Amino acid sequence: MKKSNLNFGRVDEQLVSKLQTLVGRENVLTEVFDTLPYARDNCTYKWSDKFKLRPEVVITPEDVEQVADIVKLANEKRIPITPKGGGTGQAGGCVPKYGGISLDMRKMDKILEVNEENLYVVVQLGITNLRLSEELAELGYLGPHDPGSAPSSVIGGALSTSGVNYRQGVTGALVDEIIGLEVVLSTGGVIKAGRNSGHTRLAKSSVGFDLCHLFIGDYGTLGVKTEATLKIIPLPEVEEIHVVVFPSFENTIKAVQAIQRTRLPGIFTYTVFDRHYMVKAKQIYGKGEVYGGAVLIGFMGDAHIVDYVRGRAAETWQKFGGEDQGPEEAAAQWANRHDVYPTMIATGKPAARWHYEDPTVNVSRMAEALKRYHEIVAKYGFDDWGGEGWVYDTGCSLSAIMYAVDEANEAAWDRYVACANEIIKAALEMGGSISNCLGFDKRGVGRHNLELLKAEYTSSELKTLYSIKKCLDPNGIMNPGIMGLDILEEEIVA
Amino acid sequence: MKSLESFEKDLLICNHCRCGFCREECPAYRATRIEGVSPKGRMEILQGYYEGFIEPSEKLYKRLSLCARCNDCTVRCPVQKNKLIERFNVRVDPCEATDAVLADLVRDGYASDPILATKENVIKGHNIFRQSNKDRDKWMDSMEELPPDRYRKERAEVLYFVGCISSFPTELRDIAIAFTRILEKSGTDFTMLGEEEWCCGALPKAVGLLKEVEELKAHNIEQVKKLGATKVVFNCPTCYAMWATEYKLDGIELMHSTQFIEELIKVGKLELEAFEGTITYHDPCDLGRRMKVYDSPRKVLRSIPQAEFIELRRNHEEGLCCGGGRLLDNTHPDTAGEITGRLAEALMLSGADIVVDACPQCKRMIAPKTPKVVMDIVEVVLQLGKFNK
Repeated sequence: MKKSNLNFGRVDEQLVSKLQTLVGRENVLTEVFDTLPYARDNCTYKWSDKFKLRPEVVITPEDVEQVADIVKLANEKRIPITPKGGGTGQAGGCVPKYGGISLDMRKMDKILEVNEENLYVVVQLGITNLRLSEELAELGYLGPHDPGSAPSSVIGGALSTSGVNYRQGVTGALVDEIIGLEVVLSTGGVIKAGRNSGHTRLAKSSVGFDLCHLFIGDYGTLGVKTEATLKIIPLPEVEEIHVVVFPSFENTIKAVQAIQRTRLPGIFTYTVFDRHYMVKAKQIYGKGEVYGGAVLIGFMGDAHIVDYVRGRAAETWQKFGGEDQGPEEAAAQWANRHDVYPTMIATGKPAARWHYEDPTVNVSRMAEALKRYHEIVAKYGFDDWGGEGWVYDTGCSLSAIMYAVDEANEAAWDRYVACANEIIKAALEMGGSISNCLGFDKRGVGRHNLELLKAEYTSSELKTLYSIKKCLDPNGIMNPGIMGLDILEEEIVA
Repeated sequence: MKSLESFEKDLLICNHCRCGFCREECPAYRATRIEGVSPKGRMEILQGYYEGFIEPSEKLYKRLSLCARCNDCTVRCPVQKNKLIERFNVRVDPCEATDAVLADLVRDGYASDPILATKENVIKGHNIFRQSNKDRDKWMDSMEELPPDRYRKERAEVLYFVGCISSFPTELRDIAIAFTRILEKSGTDFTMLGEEEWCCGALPKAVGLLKEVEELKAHNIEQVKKLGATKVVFNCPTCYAMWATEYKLDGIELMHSTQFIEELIKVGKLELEAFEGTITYHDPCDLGRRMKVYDSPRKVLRSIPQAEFIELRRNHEEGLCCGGGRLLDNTHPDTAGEITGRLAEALMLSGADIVVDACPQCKRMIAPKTPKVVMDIVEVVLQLGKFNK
């Protein structure tokens, strides 16, 4: 647990007793074995640090009133509060950096309304992305969020990290799908944050600030999100996935750009991967050929429209040497996309995990970005697990590289961090952003440094971020130590 | 029975992967929403315990023993799903790793009261209930035309191992009676052990009573060898799984009732009469996920003329737990009740007239919680069966 200049209070018996009165004994957990599973998320940590960042108490609230009561009390006593959903994030967002309270939101997981006339769903945020998708599919709607972590990640986490998903070419990213949020502020007050009026569940108004988007990607630093209103769309008549391979990664990107320019409707994903990725996939699954590059492209909509769109897209990819690998390979790849977590077993080292760096660059720089990332990973001598990208119709893209990190190899830790930071710097030099969907901090293999933040933001912008935080959370109790806000605190106060 | 040391690799893989795909469908986690109850959370706790960071305690025993040992986690685990288990010879089994720690905690004196009571029952009565083992075949008393030898022979081809749960609770006695009649009507040369049948050891193993398990196993093995039996049949999937995985008997075939009945139909010894109605089937955890027996019960039920067979929404390896594993109904009745409630809800949604199960403990858990008719598959077969010896 870190020390902070915010002078946080400690959780003592008296406070635990008060919390028990507020939410019931069964919802307050203090045993070491109960707090230990809250010490990590899916970020890469030193193995010896795995039990370090434990909360002092875990609370499992059942409704927004309980959340408000807890937050109000914590604010009075200056106890840090870290909300937790599925714990699948890769930036330490749900890990308590200063002890205090872990607020486990999983008991709040109900679908409160499916409004079929106006096409929205109102949900509590502890529901997993997969369960929401399954429940909506029963009613004939497409789930709003389908990331690789869908069976265990929750909507609240996706909103807090501004997540991306495999079908966002059609559904949009969550940031596009959000209509409104219910948020508990640090004072214990509950607001409905909308675009712009919160209580209306309207996707558009021009009254007041767009408060709703302020809380997207905030990692719980501005408040605790408890409920969301999200757009839904009817299930398409047809959904199909194709794997198209190319002689080079450059051609893959060119083909994707050319297809995007046609503005064809219903293309829900362009997930690209490079040669390095295919080499590793062959090693893991024991089959598959290696090509210069490939795109996983998905179509959905009415059957005759999908036929037309697929035909036009195929004409385009063929110009760049693209070859469709057929439905069997596509189905296997699509399944693998959703089951990639334990593939490091193929290294033969149980302590290995793939470390994922996810800067954003514009699509025009994508091929160059991955080339540079590979060079950096090679320079540091790490086992390269390939590059991938998710290209959005806005042109910007997630440009990710995976490499094997052995959490138990602490002698190599400085090199892991240096490698990660060099990848980020390369992206920033190409006009990119530190992270597309995971977040700034990356605890463990940490980039918790002001130098990188300053490379992405100007001093005035950083002060604006800090002012917003200070305004909504003057005591700094809401998930302290994340998003670099604690560094800003030190810098600005100093 | 494996020690926690033998799960070191499982712990490392899971604690580095941390995907959590096992969590959402873990019945105990769904009922409690406590991270440390989920398989992923438990694997983190077990790592802490293994490294000495977490002290042994009765509270720790209580927390870990919330696992219903349903094995749902192992089928959700991407290691298993991706077939990495075969290619790289690894598997992650949070249920069995939990068994190992519970055994440590019992050995070191941290078992809670219900477990100590079970221990006493097993030592004194050789069964999991507070009953004399002399009463193990009391369920036969209501049978018409009960043979004077009470189905005890010195030698027989087939041993019917009845199991504690089919033998003692009065509400389940029809299951043992039905399977006995099936064996009889099919002309099978079979016997039972009566009071010489001791608990198979599965539930004592699941709560950590390792020393007692060894004694129970040794006794049962001695008995089956004495009989010269070449086949042991079970209507209880938990006994069946225990024998199959822990007894290590060469030359003796083990069969669950569903497999035995399927075989009778296949060789023409049994036909089923028509039933006009809808039937659904609940996959018991130990028969399905642990022993991978999915087809036999379905083949039997689908062979019923005019009956409409419908699957539950969660079926085969996704079958819902009944809440009765690892003595949960005894040690954590509220959690067990919540788990059973979810299954009862699924049964109602199925729209079936008859719910068929193939596990006495499942029937024991479900029947009081649903207005549906719940029958063990052997009861269905006895009612509809036409036997040709």
